[in-house]
Amino acid sequence: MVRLARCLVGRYFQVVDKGFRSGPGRFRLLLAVSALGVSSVVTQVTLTRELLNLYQGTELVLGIAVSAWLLLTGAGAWLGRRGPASGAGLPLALVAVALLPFVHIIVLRYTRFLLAPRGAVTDPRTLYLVLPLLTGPYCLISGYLLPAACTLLAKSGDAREIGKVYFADTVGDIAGGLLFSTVLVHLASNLGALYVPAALNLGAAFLLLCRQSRRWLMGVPALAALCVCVLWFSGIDHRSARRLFPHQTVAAQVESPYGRIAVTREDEQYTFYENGVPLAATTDAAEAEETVHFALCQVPRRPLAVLVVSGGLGGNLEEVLKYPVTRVDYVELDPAVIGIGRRFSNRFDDSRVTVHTGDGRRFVEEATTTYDAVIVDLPPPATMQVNRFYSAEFFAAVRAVLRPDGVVSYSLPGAENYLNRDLAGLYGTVASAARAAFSHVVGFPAGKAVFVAGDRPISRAIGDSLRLRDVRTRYVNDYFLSATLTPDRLQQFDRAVAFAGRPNSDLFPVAFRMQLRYWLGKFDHRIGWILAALAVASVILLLVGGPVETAIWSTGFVSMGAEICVLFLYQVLYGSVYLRYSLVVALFMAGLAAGSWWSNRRLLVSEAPAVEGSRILVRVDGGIAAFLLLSVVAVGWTSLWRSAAVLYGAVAAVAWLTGAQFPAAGVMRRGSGGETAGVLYAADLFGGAIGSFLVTMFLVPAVGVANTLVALAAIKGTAVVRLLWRRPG
Amino acid sequence: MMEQGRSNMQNRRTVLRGCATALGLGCAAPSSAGMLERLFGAKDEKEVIPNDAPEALWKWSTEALHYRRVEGNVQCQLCPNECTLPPRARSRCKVRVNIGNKLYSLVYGNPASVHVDPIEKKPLYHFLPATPVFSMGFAGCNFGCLNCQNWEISQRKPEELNNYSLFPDEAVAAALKSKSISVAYTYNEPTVVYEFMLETARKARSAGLRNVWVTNGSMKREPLEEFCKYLDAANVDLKSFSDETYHTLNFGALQPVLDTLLLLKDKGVWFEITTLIVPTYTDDPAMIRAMCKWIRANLGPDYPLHFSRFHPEYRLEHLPPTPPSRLEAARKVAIEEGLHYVYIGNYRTDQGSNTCCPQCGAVVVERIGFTITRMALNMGNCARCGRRIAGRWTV
Repeated sequence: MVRLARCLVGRYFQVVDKGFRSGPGRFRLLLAVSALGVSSVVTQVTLTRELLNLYQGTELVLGIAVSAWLLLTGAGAWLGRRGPASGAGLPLALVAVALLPFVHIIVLRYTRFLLAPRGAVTDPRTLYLVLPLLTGPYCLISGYLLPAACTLLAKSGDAREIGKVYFADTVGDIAGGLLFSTVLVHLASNLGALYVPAALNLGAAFLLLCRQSRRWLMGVPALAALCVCVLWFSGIDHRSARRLFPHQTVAAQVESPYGRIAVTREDEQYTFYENGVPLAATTDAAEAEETVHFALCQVPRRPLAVLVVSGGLGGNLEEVLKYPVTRVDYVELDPAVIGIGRRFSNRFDDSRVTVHTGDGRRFVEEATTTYDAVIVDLPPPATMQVNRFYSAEFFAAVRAVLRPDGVVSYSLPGAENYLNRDLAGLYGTVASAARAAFSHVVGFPAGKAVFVAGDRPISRAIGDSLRLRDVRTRYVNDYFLSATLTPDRLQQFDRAVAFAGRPNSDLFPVAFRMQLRYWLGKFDHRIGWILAALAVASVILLLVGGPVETAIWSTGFVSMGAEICVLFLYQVLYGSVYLRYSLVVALFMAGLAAGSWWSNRRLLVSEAPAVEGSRILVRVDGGIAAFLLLSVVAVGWTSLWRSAAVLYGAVAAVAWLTGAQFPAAGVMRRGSGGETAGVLYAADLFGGAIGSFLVTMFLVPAVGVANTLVALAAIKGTAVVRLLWRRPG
Repeated sequence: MMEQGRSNMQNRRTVLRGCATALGLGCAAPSSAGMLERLFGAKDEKEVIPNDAPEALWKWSTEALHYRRVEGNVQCQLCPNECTLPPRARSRCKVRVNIGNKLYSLVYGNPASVHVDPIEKKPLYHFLPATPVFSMGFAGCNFGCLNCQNWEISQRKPEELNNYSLFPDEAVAAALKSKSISVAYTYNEPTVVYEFMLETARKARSAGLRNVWVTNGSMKREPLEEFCKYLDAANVDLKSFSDETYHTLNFGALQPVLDTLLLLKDKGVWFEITTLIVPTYTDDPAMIRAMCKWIRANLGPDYPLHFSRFHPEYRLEHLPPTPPSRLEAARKVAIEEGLHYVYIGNYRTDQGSNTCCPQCGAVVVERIGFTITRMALNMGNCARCGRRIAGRWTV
């Protein structure tokens, strides 16, 4: 059998190779490359979203996933630097590229609770090892393909054709980005989105093979197409998604652009999940009572206007409606949460409640009415996006929509018996941010830690206050609070709240860092040594690597870092970056194309391309450094950044400078075209991998956005010095 | 043109990473190593830590009372883990080290958490009701429960925490000053602070205070017998009735806990049992029935059993809170099996928190939350029918 299989595979390669060289048609080839482009973008986006759905959607998971992806794709490029022995691999690779993403997602779902006990969070150290293993095959193949194809085409035909091939690839990339952002994300689940690129890739494989003399070869993509059809009709998407809730009954599951919302039913209880984490249960009154009553019993007894930011599934609105309210505005980012909430509860049905879907931060900033209380019930600041609801800027915006005797409340993870340093730091930095806008900030150590801020003294005599208002509660009353709001625990909270350190802010997300440290503490995991090792490796490479390679990997590092900063800024100002992302992608591509066109043109007209390349490289690197330094100055001008044109311009500028560098680096480096392409591609991805991790996990949380940009400028400045040192003459 | 190609490769990479970054930042925000063990035979998380002893002992160190020397190592004899520590190693509970071929405890007089709680919070419903208890918790635990609600101290080394300094004399003085009736060793697993606990219990008893042990029940017989001389009451977690679940969920074992319950009964120590109903782990009615049968057969019907509601905690964040109906169902099973006093905790119910006379059914202690709202007991007897209600009701 083995000999027979070998024989068949060998024959396959032989025949395909022959057909490829004889020319299957330029148009077909261009289509195939475009299909690859679509697949690579859609697959990465989809796999990344799946990982975030499965592993709680934290920045750490994102950092690990993106870094692993870039590193492995870089490894693939490195392997492909000498090119393939023949052209036979292309159709086969297309088939693999069509099928592997399905395999990855299904394996990820089925191994979710093999990686951790049922219902438990996966140790991030496990993810370091397992995520690359589970997503590696696709990354390696897609990384391998481009330099390999580059070399192959250079051998077999007119080198000028290669530009067209890469144009086709770019078209595929753009199409993939737009297709996902505008269509697939709204209409398809993660697994469902993969059918489109799979169909394109298999179609392209057919096209490449259909002119072969041996038609039986088409059986390979046909078999693959059959597998995809079986997947489609097998209901594997639903079944594998249900595996994520072992021993529970899944009542509903929805994939929205913002995450995976699920509802499980156990007896009379419905539990609502987002990305696998329970948001609320219909039988859980305690949390909603804590969220609402500590705040609302502080405001004067009169008809109230209340703004509630999220938490509606947990019953916050029912608790608010126990007061004499005239108006309740409820804001929820994800319409799917509202939809599913309405389906399984009547929590949004009261006529006094107006439901708004959108970003809560923007809602507050644009609100024209004033409120007696703003109740924020969001997850802890485990991501940069949520951090915006715990920042000084947010509290200032809330202050502007509150009546003089109004209050705002927010919640953080609770610790009833011992307040560890990270949690105390988290309480402290957020309280410090709130104190910048309000005279009084008081914490309540209950099941979770609830904080109330306002300009009048905050009372802790909750039971008395509730009795005065004739508000009936099951848990927030003296029967329970007498054992939690004890003097020793209150003192502990007061000490943490009195913290005089740096307040959490949008562009210096201290709370995000503290929350990350607190969460990692559950695994006794110190991420510092990983970050330190990456930082040291970066410095060594920066100082001793080849100047051209250094220029390229540092561009990967810096452009990744700059992109993160720009997107971060965008998100701070506009909320979710998601729905406008297609425009960002298009601008990126336009900037890159313009940059590479400019660079190529300069090189083509130059009599000494190597010298010109060196000159371009130095100018571009210098340009990046200067751009970053300018951004440092501009980063504090929120009025400037509020102009979308400036943000988009920044995206295009980073892309232009990045795009201009590759052609110049290519002419400066010795070696064959394919090898050069492979090495530079790998270096760039390697830089991007380190940059994404260090910037997200260390630089921005530890030193803020402005200082991060300075650090990135310093890295680029060092690369310029290295180039100048080498530059002939 | 080759260069054009290279630049376009760059394009793809940039789109890829841009997409991922934006999606991660923009969309997904509002939201054990078991596989490694299986795949690579990695170490159990709760293992002896080599070369982790501090350079020098600190003032909160004391030589352990229960250990033996085995071939150049020391073996702790305090709990069923029986950690064997090579020189400079640290025990699984993270608070015991081998220095100079002697076993030392690093938690003698340095509680991380000190509070005055109502006794009902331990929970102890049949022991000096409505009295304050001076409660201390330390670093360390001989278990590694995935749902630990005090993981900030129990899964940490003492050096990593902000500790009080409270040696036995000072602890007793502080307890008296707080007007507490009892001293509770609680929050973490107090077994691991055995030397401090024993000495403080002895002094507390001399000062007229009671001693309360809130425990997972995993202590070896010899030290426990010694401790029972000063012990007045205990709340013992019977986390499940399955050794496999104990292993998966708690990094512990069932039999030592059962042995502890039997010993406490033999020694006349009042105790109550708590079982946390964790969905999909410990909510199986058949398992609960088997557990209640064992309790009835081996301990009798009078030791109270508390079924506690689970909330997502520590690492067990992906499970739902326990549906109230499962708590009620567990209570029903326990009553069917003949247990007299069965309670529901962490969830407010009308019946599940009251003590009823097993003879006439009258409510003899009515509770809401941690507060007693009415008592109908006459010297520990039902005020209506006079039947003795098991417990320690008066000081």
